[in-house]
Amino acid sequence: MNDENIQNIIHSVSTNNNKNNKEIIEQIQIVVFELDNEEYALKINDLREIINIPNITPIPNSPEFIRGIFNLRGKIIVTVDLEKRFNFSRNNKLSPKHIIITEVENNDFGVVVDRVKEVLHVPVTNIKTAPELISNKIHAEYIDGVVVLEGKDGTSSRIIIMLNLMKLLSDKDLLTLGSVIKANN
Amino acid sequence: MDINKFKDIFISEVEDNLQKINENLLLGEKLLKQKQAGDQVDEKKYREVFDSLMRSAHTLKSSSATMGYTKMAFLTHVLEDVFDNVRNGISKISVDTFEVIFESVDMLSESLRNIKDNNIESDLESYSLRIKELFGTKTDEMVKVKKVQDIKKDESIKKETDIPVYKIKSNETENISHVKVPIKRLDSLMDLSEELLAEKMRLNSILDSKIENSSFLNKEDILSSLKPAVEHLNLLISNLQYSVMQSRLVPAGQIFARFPRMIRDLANKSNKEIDLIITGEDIEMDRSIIDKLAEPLGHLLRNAVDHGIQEKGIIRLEAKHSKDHASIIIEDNGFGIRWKELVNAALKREIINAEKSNEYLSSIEMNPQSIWQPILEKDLLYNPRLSTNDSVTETSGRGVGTSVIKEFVDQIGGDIEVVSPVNNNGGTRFTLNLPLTLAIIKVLLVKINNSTFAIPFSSIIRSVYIDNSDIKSVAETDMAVIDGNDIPLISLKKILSISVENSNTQDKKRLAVLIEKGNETAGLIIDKLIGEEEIIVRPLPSVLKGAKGFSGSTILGDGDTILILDATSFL
Repeated sequence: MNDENIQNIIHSVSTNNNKNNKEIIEQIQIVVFELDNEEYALKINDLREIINIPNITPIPNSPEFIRGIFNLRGKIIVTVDLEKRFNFSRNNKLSPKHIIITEVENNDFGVVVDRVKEVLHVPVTNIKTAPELISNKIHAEYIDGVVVLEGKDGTSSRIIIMLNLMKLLSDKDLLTLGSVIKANN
Repeated sequence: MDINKFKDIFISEVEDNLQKINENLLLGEKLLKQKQAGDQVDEKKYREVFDSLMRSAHTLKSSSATMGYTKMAFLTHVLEDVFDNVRNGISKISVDTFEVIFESVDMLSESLRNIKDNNIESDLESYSLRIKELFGTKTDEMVKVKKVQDIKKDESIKKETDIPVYKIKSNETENISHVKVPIKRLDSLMDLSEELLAEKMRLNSILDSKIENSSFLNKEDILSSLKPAVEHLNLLISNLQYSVMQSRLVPAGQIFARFPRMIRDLANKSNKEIDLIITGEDIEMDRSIIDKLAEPLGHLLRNAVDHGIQEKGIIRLEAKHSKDHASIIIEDNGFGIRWKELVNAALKREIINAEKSNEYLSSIEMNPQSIWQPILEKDLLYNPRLSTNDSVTETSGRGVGTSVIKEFVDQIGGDIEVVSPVNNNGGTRFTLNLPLTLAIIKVLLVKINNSTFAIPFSSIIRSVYIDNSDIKSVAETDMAVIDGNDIPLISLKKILSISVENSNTQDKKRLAVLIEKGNETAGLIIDKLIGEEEIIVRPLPSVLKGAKGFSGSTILGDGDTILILDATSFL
């Protein structure tokens, strides 16, 4: 997607909203990425950087959703596989390309994604509560909502799931999940 | 001008000076006591103590006034005058009034902590005036203070200061936030970084010349010109590493310095006469170890005062260097550990059963000079259930915190030895053997399938080839006869759930690394030895703490991350 397109979307979104509301609408920046042909987004402040997938060292005896660890400029990064985390079955034959680096509770994490697509400005009013269909698939507390974007002509719409990475990667949640998986084994 | 910029410097300066005042007060008090006992005292030395006290107080006064802490400035001003008057014979100082001065130093420390944490100083006004009155100094009031009559009414303060307070000051556990690095070490760091820059330029120029001069594009040529540069880089980097380590070192004296005061207070409180002899203050250890050392040492020393020494005695605190580690020795010439009572207490609390207790008691009987009894200690001395309960410790003769010490020593990979009684007269000696630095260990790099792992040298005996014919299966465990001993073999592939891609059971020999823990030995089956390496240990991120069998991770020269096997956990 090129810049012009993005601008169009932003424009359309903001004009749409201005019809109902004349006030200045707060916007946030989100990073959109793809995971098995679906679009997800994170708040830009929640991530530190995006890198290509490096050589990852697997950790024996660790939960399946932990891909392993790697070295990023002298720091050890734990890599998490969201598809394994949510028990998705993967249809996309291509292997993931990017890792999103973030820091949660003083731990550095990498999240494997197929590819990072773009950075968008969206008005907060465009973030809606996630429909049940989605929150069934991913636990509701890990979803901040869905971003609904409409094209200029009002037809082609996009739905992007906003993930709450901070919650998803919090120590407590990962550790309990890890022990559950271990117990099942 | 933002004065807060200087707060850190101010705090460190005040800390240093308060420490100095404490040391000199202790010395002064000792000399005064000798004087009163009729001993010959070097008057010159006595005067020097007060000279130095006055100088420290003066420095404190100026710096706190500069920083705008007027109450601290006033109290230190009063103290300065007191010290001045005493050294000139204008005021008299007694053992009792020494106590008041000691307290005022504590109040200054308290105030400093307040400044550090909350940015405000404590209220020291009425206290300052009390001292002023007590010694009859004519200190000018820097700020408007309450009238003397008001102070007299303020009985609560008087009462409070009349009763000496002996709580263990929390600065015992304060971390070292600043390290004083000798200029020489900084210079050598500077030199090294300059050399690294020069080496970088050399590499760049090699690269440039190769690109420009394409006739030069011979593989051999490039390699031969790169080789010396890389070798030199290796040398520089290990020197740099060493220098950085060096600058992290702090002398043991930095934490030892707080103990004389602590011992004095504890001894006064329990009416004991205790001499603390400190040696080896200049032994240097890594800052991170020194930081953690303060608390366990405090426990051991308090134990020595509370339970070791009866009425009069000597406590020795010593730091020394051994081959590859540093040792801290705490020895008292008191009663010694009452092992029998310890065993009985453990029996009473059902930590051990009657059979065990009889076994222990008879072994104590047989060997009264019971030197180093690991099982006894593991079960009893370091058992938190035994040592945290006060009523038990009263009878056991060893106090709170031995489990804390054990924990600390384990945590940093050291060990602890106890000898009690030390000789026929009793006594207890704790020796803490500590690594000099935490970060760097020597490991053996091995390959299992395609993954590389590191095994710490500390647990390795050697590596051996084992003929398949020498391996026997006993109760699902493979055993091999090595040097006449039956040694169990551990399949790392199985333990680490590494899928076996190309099974090499056809091989006639298998490669094993022999590891040991205590008296136990085992062989870890590996695929390939890569070599030895000095690595920097990085702890595993907390989410991976559940992954059993690893003690940490490290980054290799090629940038790859590998796991360090906790070999002894497999035993």
